[in-house]
Amino acid sequence: MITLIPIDGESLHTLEGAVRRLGFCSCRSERPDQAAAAGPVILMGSGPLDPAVAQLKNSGWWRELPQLVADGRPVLGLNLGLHLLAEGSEESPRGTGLGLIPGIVRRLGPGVKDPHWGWSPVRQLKAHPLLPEIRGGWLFFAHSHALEPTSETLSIAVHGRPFSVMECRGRAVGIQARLEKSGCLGLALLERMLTILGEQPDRELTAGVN
Amino acid sequence: MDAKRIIPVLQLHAGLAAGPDPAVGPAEWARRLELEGADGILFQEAEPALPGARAAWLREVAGVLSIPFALEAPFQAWAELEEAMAAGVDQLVLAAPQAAEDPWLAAAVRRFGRVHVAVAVNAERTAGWRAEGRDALDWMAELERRGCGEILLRAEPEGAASAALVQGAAQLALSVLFRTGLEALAADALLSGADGIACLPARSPKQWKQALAVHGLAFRD
Repeated sequence: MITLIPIDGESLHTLEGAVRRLGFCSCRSERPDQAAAAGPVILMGSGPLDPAVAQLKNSGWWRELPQLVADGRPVLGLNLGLHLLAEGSEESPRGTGLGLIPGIVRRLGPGVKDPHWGWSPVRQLKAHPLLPEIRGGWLFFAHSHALEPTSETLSIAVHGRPFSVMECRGRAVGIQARLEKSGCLGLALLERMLTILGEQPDRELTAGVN
Repeated sequence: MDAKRIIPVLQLHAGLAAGPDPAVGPAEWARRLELEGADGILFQEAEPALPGARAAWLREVAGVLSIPFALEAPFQAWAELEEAMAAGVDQLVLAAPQAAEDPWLAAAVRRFGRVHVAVAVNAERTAGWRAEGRDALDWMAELERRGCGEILLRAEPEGAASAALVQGAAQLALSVLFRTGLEALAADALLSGADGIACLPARSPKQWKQALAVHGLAFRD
């Protein structure tokens, strides 16, 4: 069972729909004590950083997520979720991130369209079990900040300068792209990741679904 | 470089998408257009929605679509914006008068992030390009400063002169979608820096891409 952490002002309908169409089961968990007993935890958002941090702290998730990763539970941060998993962000200079993925999230630009709202080609930098057969392709992005790539970054895209699209550190995975909004390729990536992270799709759920 | 976007516009009346088959609802129309290569969908409501009715079809759309979708509607209360975002809308498109005369633009940017907020700009060519009673480019620059993330630009009358307007708008640090159903104007706008085309679905997104690719423009496969 996949645990989805809702963030105020964010909708999970598309992600839930994508997960359901892929044949996985999910539940929303406002607080850690409502989470599924096992399986990946997904932190997804696309709005401002500070309210999301405040909500995660108030709900107890801020303290719980590092412990889950330490215990071997996969945590997947999508878009704003990646920013929350990082060490910090220019969007909130006084705050710190969860620190599960090294690096600081920085503002895009200068001299580029901000926000970056569109489909960008993605380049894979290194092989990884999460990406066994993906070789580039177009993914959808909607963001004003991004993590700078390092030697450990799995894939990048370019908006003025290269930025990290995918990071994996142990059981913490961060993805800048909106996989649930990236058409067939995004869904294929999401399915592959969830499967490798230990989820098994229920084929009865996908029967009759294109 | 990003792919140029082809965004079909689905016009809705009383919650029903206008199309050749009135039995097909907004979610099904949108899903079909995604399969035909759309890079996003713009839903355009003709009249104010009935309370509660809009959220139901928006949630349905969000549950079946794997591409972003936007909503342009005659919003009458702030709660409608909250409801639409909660239902899964990726981008709210405010009418220019709403952005000009009330605090919704600033409030929407603060609440949802600029990435989710667009403004429709209707530019009219008189002595020059004008919108909201002022120079259209000045108006778009102000929208950029106030946090708008994307502009949906319409030029009236349509014609070759709109390329210069698009070129000016494309210098701003925000995305520009140009509304047109004419292939020549679409090509001019994209070559002038527009990020995409918003068009009624008279032909499929794949057909648009095939027609425009001859100009050397890059589209998502």
